[in-house]
Amino acid sequence: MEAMTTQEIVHYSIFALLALVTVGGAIKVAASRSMIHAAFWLFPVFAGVAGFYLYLGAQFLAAIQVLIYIGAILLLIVFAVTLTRNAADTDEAQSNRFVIPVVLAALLLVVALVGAAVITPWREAGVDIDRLLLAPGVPVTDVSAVGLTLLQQYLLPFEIASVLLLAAMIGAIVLARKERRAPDEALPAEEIMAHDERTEAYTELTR
Amino acid sequence: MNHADYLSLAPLLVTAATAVAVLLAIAVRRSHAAAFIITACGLILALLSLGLPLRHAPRGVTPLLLMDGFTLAVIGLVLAATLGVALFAHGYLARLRLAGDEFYVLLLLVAVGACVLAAADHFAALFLGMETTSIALYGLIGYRRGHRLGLEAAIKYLVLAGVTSAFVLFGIALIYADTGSLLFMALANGNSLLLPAGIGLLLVGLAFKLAFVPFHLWIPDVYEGASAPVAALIATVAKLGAFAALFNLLWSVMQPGSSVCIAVILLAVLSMFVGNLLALQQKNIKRLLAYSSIAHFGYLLVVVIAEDVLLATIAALVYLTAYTLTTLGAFGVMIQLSNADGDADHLEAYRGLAWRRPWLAGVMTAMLLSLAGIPLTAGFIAKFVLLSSGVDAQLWLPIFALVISSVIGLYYYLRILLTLYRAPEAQPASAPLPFTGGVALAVLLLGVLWLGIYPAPFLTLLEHLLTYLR
Repeated sequence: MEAMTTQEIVHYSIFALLALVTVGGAIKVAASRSMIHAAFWLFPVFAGVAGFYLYLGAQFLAAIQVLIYIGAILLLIVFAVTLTRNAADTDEAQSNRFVIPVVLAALLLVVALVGAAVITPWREAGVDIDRLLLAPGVPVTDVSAVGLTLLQQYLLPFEIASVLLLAAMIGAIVLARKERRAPDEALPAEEIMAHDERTEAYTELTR
Repeated sequence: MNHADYLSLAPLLVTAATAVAVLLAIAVRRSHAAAFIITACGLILALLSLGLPLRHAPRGVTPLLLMDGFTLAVIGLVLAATLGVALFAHGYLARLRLAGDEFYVLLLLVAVGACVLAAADHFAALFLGMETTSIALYGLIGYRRGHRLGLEAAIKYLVLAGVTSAFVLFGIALIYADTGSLLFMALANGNSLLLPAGIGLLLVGLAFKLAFVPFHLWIPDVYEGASAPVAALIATVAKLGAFAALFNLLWSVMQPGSSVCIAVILLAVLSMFVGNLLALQQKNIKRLLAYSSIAHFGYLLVVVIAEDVLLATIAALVYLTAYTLTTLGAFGVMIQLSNADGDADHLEAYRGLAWRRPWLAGVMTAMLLSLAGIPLTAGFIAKFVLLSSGVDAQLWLPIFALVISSVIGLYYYLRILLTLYRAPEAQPASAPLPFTGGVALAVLLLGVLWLGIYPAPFLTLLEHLLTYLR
């Protein structure tokens, strides 16, 4: 095996560090017993991925990753966990009776994937990484290029994604609201009270 | 995108626009009737607009979607099945006194997702279609908020869909790493081990969605927890889209004797036997239909490995049509018998139905015979075409499994049939048949019988569609 040049050592150490932070964080997310800890362990995962984008010269994606995943999604998850009753301090068992077959299946997958990755003759990277990383003056990803691709070549998936978000929004509203009965049906008073506490308060007031 | 592109996408555009129209109507006035009428009209319009892409087909609309004969036929089925579910849901929601307006929006969005899946020719479209379908389904499965099993089913489906997405995305990433392209076509020119690994992960993801054994554990619980119309939607629309995507995807990589081919045969044979065997002891009709759908999609996998493209595509379409008509019909009868006390999913609810509701029992009989594949019903013709496609490709193992497991399946279908004609116990009088549901059931019954007795015009139509638009 040839001796590595200093540059290669630098690259491998950057990659190893980012991989360690990302994968280590992901393992802690899965293994944490407390929801709130799991939520906070997402931070190194998202930050590590942002680091990878930066390392590959995709500065715009890295910025988006930080803004959306760390700035918005992580924050929302932490809010959701703290605001949900009992979710913050549950101490559920982390395994069930399927643990042995699941571990076996997972090991099989790991062997298959690692085997495939080791055997594959990885092509030399098409771009010179040094140029991306060590010469910050060279713009590699152009924000306007991302925008143009998104709105020209990938306009259709962009539109389908908006339909997807519509589905998510309506679905969330349906699941989050109280069960609403059809308005034109007269319901017995007890049933309304069971379904709507405000009605209960109202009947209290008018009694 | 130019004029012809928009025309080619007309059915999808009309369906998506209908969803928005229902939302706008809700903003003006909340009314179940208005939401239903807009949905039904929109779906009929979308079905009519299927004629527009015909002139331009086969056409790739951007690299994402490919509208060819097969895709258009599946989109037609998806839209018709959605219309059927909407017709059934109208009476069901009214009987349960559930507010129905958002139900129709989500229903239409599931249909849009399934259409995108069916037309997908690019992994981005595949993933977006899958996600749109499943996200809209979470809301629908948990629609009855007071229903504990329904919420449990919604969470199960959410977790399952999350796992599926992870598998599919990982598979796509590996395929991209090998071929450098996200087009389905690129699958044919991979050159390393990453490609089979990626296809394997993708297959696992789609097998979860279509509930092939051993990825089937979720489906009986989700059918049982979801309300009957939603279960019908999962059984037909969601599965139609996913199967069409699987068919389009695997077609380019399938070579006899390859590892993918062996994996598909294994999935098919396991699904046929395990699905039918698990159904034997079922007393719950929803769970029974869930297991039966596992077996039916196991049968359908035979066409994915068949050699003759035209024959296999016709077989797939005929089987999907028969399956959709029959499953919708069976769920339709269940929906008519369901009321605010719960869905009629127990076998006891059907005891002596022939004496109480002879019309419904007659429809159910036809549907059960068709599911079992008895002659003079659509199910028989579908199985016949499927078998001839398999024999043509000399796939003896799956064919043998198909025949044996169909015989096993006969037992549990006939058990429900016998229950229908047993002496009735005293049962409370049930609600009269609503007009919308009655129309839908009559159309389904005619479809099943027409396809079973005189299938020639339908087969010729499909053949024309497929030979000229491919």
